[in-house]
Amino acid sequence: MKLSYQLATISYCPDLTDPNAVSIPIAVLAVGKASNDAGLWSAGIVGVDAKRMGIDPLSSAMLADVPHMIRRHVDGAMQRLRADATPDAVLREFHESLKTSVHVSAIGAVHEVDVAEPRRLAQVLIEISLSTLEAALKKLGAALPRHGQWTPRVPPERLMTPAPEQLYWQPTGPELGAVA
Amino acid sequence: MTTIAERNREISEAWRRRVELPGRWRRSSSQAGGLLVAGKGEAGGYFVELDAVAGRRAYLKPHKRHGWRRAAREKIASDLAGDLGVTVPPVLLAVNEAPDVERWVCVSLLLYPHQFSWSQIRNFLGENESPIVSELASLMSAPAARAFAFDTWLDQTDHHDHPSNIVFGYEGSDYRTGEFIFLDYAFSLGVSGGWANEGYRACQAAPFPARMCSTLSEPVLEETVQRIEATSEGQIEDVVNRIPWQWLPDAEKQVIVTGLLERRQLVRPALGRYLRSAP
Repeated sequence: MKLSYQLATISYCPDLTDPNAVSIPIAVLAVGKASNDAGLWSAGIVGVDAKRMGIDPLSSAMLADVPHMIRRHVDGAMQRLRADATPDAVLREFHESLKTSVHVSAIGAVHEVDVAEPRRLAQVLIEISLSTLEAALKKLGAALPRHGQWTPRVPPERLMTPAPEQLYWQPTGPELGAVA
Repeated sequence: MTTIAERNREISEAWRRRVELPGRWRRSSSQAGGLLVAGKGEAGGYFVELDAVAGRRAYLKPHKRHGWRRAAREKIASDLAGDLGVTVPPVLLAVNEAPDVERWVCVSLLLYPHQFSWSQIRNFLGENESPIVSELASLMSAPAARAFAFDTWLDQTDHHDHPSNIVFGYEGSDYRTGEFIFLDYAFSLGVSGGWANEGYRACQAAPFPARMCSTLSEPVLEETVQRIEATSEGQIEDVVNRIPWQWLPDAEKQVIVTGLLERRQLVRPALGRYLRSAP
């Protein structure tokens, strides 16, 4: 089956007043829709653990809430939007709701990928999101800390078939700020 | 060394005295924190750098053409807010020479390095047990009371629980010195003919976030209502009538002046249930 998907990059800007400010990618949300009869939706989210970014307490708390915020939005959008909505509609709505220090810094084009079976949908989106986040960080001369592990952050709360997956990089090495 | 908050105050005072932006503006190389694309109902805009304030970003809006005089409304609201101590960014009118977009625009100063949207703050306040929650809540009651009275006076309809028209901003790492900032007054002052034919007489409590309404400071609300009631006719006329006609035609100025004057006495009854001493 074909999986049609789009990605949104969520970034953090350390100084909004600075005309030369550069945002740091902190998460990638992938929303996809399968071409099978059921038109299955799926979402994948990967992100960086904010606690290790060496930022002030409130920014850290706000960034720590990002996975929950994304999850709330995706859940809400899935319930609100029409069955024939596109991934683009989900991401556009998300983008409009998230401005200022934490914001959607990019929405990618629609892509398609072949997926062998429905239960692989979320995993495929996770893998695509991960490579996108790594590429975005690399562009800034940064990288995910080398030592760490991917762990689920927000357990599935409501039924989506298949449930969205979220993995957050839990660094055990240097802070992201140190390599950014 | 001057803090950003101190610099903001200097700029606000200077911009309150002016109407139009002196010098040029140019699109900022960094658009971090803004919209990628303006959605339906959004006016659109982008971050700019100004000759007038080096090293700072401002937001230029609206981008889309329309007849709602959004820029003039932003300037009037910002000037009146400044006089009443309501935290609205300073605004100056500007011209956008680019083709096929709104020509008569404004620039609104971006106030703080860190600004988080109301949607994020609201969820944080509601779902978190961090000690930061109570500190933020205590920072909210006075500015929310001022803005609630102000929004009611101006017939601002776009704050309710809008995800991003209210932000919390601060500099450095001390969020306790931060402030709640109220943005986007394009949908106020009888936009789209709402105040025509004495429509300004319909004065109700402005739609405002329930979380904020639950923690309003009553003394600050009372004080702000008194200050609105005491705002002079001359002050209102000056703020509105100095807007050049290109941004706001004279006929519409008259409606706005009349609406502001008449509504000064309608704010108190509209906010009666929030005011202890209300009749």
